[in-house]
Amino acid sequence: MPTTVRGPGAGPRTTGRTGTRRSGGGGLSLDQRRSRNRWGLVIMITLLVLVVGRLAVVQGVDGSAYANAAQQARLHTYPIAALRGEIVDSSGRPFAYTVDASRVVADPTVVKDPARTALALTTLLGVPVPTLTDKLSQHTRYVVLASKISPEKVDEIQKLQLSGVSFEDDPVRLYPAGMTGGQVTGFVGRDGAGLAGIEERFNDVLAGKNGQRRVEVGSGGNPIPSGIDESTPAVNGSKVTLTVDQDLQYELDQRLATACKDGATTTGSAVVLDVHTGEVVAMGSCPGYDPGNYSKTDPNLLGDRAVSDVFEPGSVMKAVTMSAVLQEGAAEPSTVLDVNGHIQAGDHVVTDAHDHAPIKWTVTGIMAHSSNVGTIMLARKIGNQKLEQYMRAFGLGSRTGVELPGESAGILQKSSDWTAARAANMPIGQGISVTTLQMASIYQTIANGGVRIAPRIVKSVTAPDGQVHPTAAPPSRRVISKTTADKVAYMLEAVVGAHGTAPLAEIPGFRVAGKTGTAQRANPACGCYAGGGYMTTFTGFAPADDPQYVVAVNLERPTSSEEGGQVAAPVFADIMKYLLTAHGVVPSGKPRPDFVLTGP
Amino acid sequence: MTRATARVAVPRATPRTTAPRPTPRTSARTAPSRPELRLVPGTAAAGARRHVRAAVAHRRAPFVLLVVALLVGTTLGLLVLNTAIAVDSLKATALKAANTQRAQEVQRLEQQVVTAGTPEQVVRSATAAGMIPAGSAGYLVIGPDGKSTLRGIPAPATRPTATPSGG
Repeated sequence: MPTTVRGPGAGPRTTGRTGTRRSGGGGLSLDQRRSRNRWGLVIMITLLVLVVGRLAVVQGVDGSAYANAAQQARLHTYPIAALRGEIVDSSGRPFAYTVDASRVVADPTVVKDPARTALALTTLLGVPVPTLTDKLSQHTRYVVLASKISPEKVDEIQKLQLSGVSFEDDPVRLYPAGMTGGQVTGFVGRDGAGLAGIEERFNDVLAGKNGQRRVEVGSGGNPIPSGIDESTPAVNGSKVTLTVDQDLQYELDQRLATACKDGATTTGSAVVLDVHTGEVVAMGSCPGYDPGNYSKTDPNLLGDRAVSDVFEPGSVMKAVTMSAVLQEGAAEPSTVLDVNGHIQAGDHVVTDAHDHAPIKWTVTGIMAHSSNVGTIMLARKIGNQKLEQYMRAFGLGSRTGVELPGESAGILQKSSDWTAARAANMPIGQGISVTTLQMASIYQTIANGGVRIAPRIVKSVTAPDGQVHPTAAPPSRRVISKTTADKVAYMLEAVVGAHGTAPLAEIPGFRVAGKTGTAQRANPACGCYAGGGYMTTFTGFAPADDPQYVVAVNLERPTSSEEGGQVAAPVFADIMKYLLTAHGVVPSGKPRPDFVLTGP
Repeated sequence: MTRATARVAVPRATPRTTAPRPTPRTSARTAPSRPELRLVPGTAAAGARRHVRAAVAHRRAPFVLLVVALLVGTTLGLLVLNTAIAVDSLKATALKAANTQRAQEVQRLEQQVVTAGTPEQVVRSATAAGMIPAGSAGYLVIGPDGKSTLRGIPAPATRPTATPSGG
């Protein structure tokens, strides 16, 4: 049985009697009290219904929205920077890689004492106190105090426990090799996007994809330990492996830098190709630049001149002319020609380097002495159209397709547009423009038995999961027959010898084939050849009896008349000598053939 | 209904100043002859009230204790759970920090290796160690008959005069 305990002061209660007046009822009749109770109940219920209704709306209908808003107010999103992929040489040594660093940011509304905070940070960030104080006093919720701060410094700043100061990922791109291979590697801008070289061409592959971290933070901006902490991980960039050998690249850059300091050479470039694969083993030009310090370099020097600058190759082109002549059966290396010292070409007269009385030279002799007249005589045997056809087949007038930005196609006019003077100039490499890479590619074709393999500089791309994706095999095409290629190689070997134009290209113990070039340089001031100086070139391969590498060197010498055999050939020899020794190429030991240069 | 009627019909032995719960009006109407409630002398009332209260308190004690125990237990449990979570969270944070430190250390050491391995640095170190670039190499090639032949023209290395070119 339920027990009821009533508190003191409660009046006695009546039940069941109607119409009885009782004290304690506030002088109201029972009906009135009932009525009062009823109305009170109605009001109470109404209020209750209203409150419960509102509660239902807040909790049930808008509940999730409110909860979400509250959570959003507590959630802070931090970007997670993807690590940009490395650019490495053929053996995995880095040309460019990225290390962690931080951007120091502040929320001025949370910073307690701007002056004191600025003082604490000034030495660690390397930013003057007034600048920091200004930033920390701004009426905003986000200011960047410093970028690219090393993890060690970040640790020190964290120990200071400054309120309102936080950190964001801001990786730093490093170029450990410095100027070595700088033009190939290229560089990234402030925002981390590639602006030159491989960095630009492979930006999408290298960049990766940024992630983000969402953290529930307390009023002080610190993460709540057991709160929401979800991350979308960043996808790091892929690694790009080049075909370049860093050691050889260093040698090439050093040798070119020395050449550029000879007092007459203003710019120079060189390319090394693997004969059998068409891969670029080294490529560079002087003056070079350090990608890590590109902002302090003359913007005109930031390109890769070995692929972007064109020049008239001069006698180096005679290898193409001879290939065409021999392939077309118009002559043999032993064919004897009566070569004069000069030849009429339209209203122009083209001479040999030094005018001379008629000499009976073999075709090999014409090549070895780099006779312009003899070459023009041979070219006339096959005609302009055939010559143009071979030039194009050797890759002139079109881009090689190497994976570098800003590549030039060079300039090669249609043979139908050639004037008589131009028709005489083309076989000897004037009136046509090529890049150093195109020049190297011509000799790769001859050294490779007549098969041209388009030059490539990227070996593979390695995904962040370690999967290696080799680049597609470059297109290869037979340009001349193996027999013709061997004949041309034989003639080119005659150039590098006691009776040729390039004795300085000799490498002790090895047989070397190559060709000098001394082309008149167009004077930018007048658009003519007068006073333009010379482009001196040497392109060759070794060992001549089993070619492994092609080296093309090109030096711009506006104030000098020295020939390619004197200035470019030694650069070629130094680079090739290092290459053969470093890569352990063993000489065949076979003696050089006897070259017949003159006829009976 | 029956309970309420019975309660009124059989008044309690102990006199009470308070009436039982107000019975529904219907019961009042159906039982008009119900004996009226009356006041009883108060002398024994106080003692009786104390007795009742003691009895009630005695009966309620286990329930109250249970509720209190539940409350205290829950609070303590929550406290322990929260502390455990916080401790784990702090441990995780500390481990994460340690992990980051190690990663930084690895990165710093790797950076050292890379920097020391660049051609420029190798040349510098080699030169500092007194090494000079090699001259022309000679090769001893062993033929099928076991005889060796010298290939190439070996030359002793000479100290470069000017720039450390390394070649």
